Amino acid sequence: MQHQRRRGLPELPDQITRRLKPEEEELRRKREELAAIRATLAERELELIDFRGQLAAFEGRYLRQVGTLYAELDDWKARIAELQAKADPSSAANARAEEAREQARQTYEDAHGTSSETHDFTPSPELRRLYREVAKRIHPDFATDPADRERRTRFMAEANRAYEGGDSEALRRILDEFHDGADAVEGEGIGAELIRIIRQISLAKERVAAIERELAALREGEIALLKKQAEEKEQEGRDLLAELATAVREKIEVARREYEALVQEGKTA
Amino acid sequence: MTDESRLQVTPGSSRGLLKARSGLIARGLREAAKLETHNDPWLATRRLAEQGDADAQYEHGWEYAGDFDGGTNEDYASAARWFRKASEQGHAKAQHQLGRMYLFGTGVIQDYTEALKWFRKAAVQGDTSAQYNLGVMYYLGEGVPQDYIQAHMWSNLAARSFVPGTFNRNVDLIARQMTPQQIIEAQRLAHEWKTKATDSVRDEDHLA
Repeated sequence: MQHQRRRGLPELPDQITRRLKPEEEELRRKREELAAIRATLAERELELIDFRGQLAAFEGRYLRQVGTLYAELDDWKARIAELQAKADPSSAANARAEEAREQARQTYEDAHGTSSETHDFTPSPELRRLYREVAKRIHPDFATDPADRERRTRFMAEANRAYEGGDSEALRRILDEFHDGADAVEGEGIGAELIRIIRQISLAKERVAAIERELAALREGEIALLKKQAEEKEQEGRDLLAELATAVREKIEVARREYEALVQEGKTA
Repeated sequence: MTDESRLQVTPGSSRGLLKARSGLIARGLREAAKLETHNDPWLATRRLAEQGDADAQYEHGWEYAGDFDGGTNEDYASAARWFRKASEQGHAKAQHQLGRMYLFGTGVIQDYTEALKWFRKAAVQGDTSAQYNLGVMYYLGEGVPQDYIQAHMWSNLAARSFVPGTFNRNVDLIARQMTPQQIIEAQRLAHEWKTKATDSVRDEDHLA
């Protein structure tokens, strides 16, 4: 303050620029830190949900374009194995046929399951802005007590669903409905508030680390590998999924012909 | 503040993106790697190797190792890394190569115990070259106490699988250091091993 006065700011009245007590000073710093980590956390949550959405959308595309063809291929293979088991009913042939049928069933289930229904995921800038806001304000790691945490978790889960569904209206409603009580807890002393904020910071940091781990795991996953290759192909003006579909179709054709040959053999035998 | 409540924050996480759904994604990856073969075989092998295909890892190891002639240390270290990945999946030829690298200290720090370990893994799978090398290590007492019976047994097994004459010299050399009883014991062990191997695995070799 001495400093400021010498610099020619005498109009600042002393009574409101009083020096902060050490704990007040610490609280101010921690609040700033919390605000910063809130922003970081919101950004990372957004990154995670976006990446997951992109992977899910790609997976859906893959399952529809290629997975369904694999289901068809496995069905032909199962039919072949079943014909062979009929012609030579040994226990090994029967086991092979059962195995092939089970594989075909599994492939069909996966290829036509709910994941295949996921459609393209291209969140608008406004949707992303809203989600960032939600994550900053509502994230469960900024709860004041277990009940608050539970409430936040519920809101956050709803927000995730809204985001994944591209529903910006729902996100706005969530923001309206959520009343943030965290910044002013009644009857809370400086000490209690400090402890609460420190805990929140620590929880938020843990969550950021967990998000990093999850992102890393997702990036190494099979679907991310395939997506990356598809993107590389796209750079070359090629369509990986279409090429894969063609390759599997060729296999289906081979399997179908083999099946028909077996049927003919069965007739002549 | 339980773990459960944390998980609920992101309900999308259980979508199964990390789960290999009946291998459907893996199949696509393999097929994609095959598409590449038309363009770039190296890249195709690399991709398969990265996805954990043991044969591709072995092949890729060789791409770094060359013929163990004029490569850099980094190349050999990479070769050892890929051979090891394949070896850990039980790839016998890779185990033999990894054993050789430990034996000669190529790309790794020379370690007879490690060499012996990988030769043995490959040898029990019937890899002839590993059997041969294992025999030599027992004969010389490298990484293991000298043991003529074991040396004879493995060298004998290796020699039988080769064109007659190629490796017999070793067996004869070892036999010269042994008593007739020891030779009989070694032959019995070799025969026993061979019979067991023939029973369990398909066998391309024929015992006289």
